[in-house]
Amino acid sequence: MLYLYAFVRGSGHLPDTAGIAGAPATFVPLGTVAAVVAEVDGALEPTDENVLAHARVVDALAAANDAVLPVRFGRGFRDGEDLAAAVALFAGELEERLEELSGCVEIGLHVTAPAQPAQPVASGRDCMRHRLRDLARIDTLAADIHAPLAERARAATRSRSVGTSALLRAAYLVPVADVDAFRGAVDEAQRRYSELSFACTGPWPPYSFAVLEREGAAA
Amino acid sequence: MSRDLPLEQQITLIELVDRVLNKGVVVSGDITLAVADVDLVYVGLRVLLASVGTMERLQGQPA
Repeated sequence: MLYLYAFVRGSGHLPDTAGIAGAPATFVPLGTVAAVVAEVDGALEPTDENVLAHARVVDALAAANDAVLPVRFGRGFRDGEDLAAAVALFAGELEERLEELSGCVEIGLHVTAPAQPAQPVASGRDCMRHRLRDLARIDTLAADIHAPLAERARAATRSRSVGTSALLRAAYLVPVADVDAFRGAVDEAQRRYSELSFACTGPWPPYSFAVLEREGAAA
Repeated sequence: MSRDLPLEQQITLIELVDRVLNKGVVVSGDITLAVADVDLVYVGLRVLLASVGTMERLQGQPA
């Protein structure tokens, strides 16, 4: 099976990094882009080891290339022909995305609020009212933090919180040269909202911005 | 994932797993339906569940 890691430009560089099951990654040229794949035996389990190996190859590609389009974990193809047929559906779009992501990295942000002690409330109705008010407040606060950062970024996306205490989970697409300034803006936000906890992650390869328009139709 | 890891590092691990499993382009789609014997890789939820479990534990910890 050909296991697919990412796409790069056809003229891109292939770093020497061992991927899943230690198999070396290779280029499959597909027009102006190239798929980075490895020959892997059988089906793959999403073990910590395999997930980390996938991340390692994509990281190495991001370090060696100006533009990389990460592929989601677990995409395999029977052979080069099947891969080419699947990729043909997105012809042109892959190249466009690579162009947009070129020279950019992704910065992740987690903003968490300290746990609030439970308030004693009179009735179920009051309880519901309190919760709704809290949710509205949290939404406004998250938007206030997110908006100025999104404005600084080339693109931005918010994701559903994992767990209830995460007030904001977002990713920002930032040109490599602007990463320090962007982190500075996050530090500034941390100072302004000192009761909250800001955690910046990355720079990541642009996973959160590797989206194809046709995906919805293909899912 | 160990509880001994600093918070920033734990968040980074969660974020990494979330990105690799839930983000990135998907290029199976139509062709997967058309070609029945494509050896689609099995993707379970073990790692993701482990990461959510870690998040729940983090919430229980004092800031």
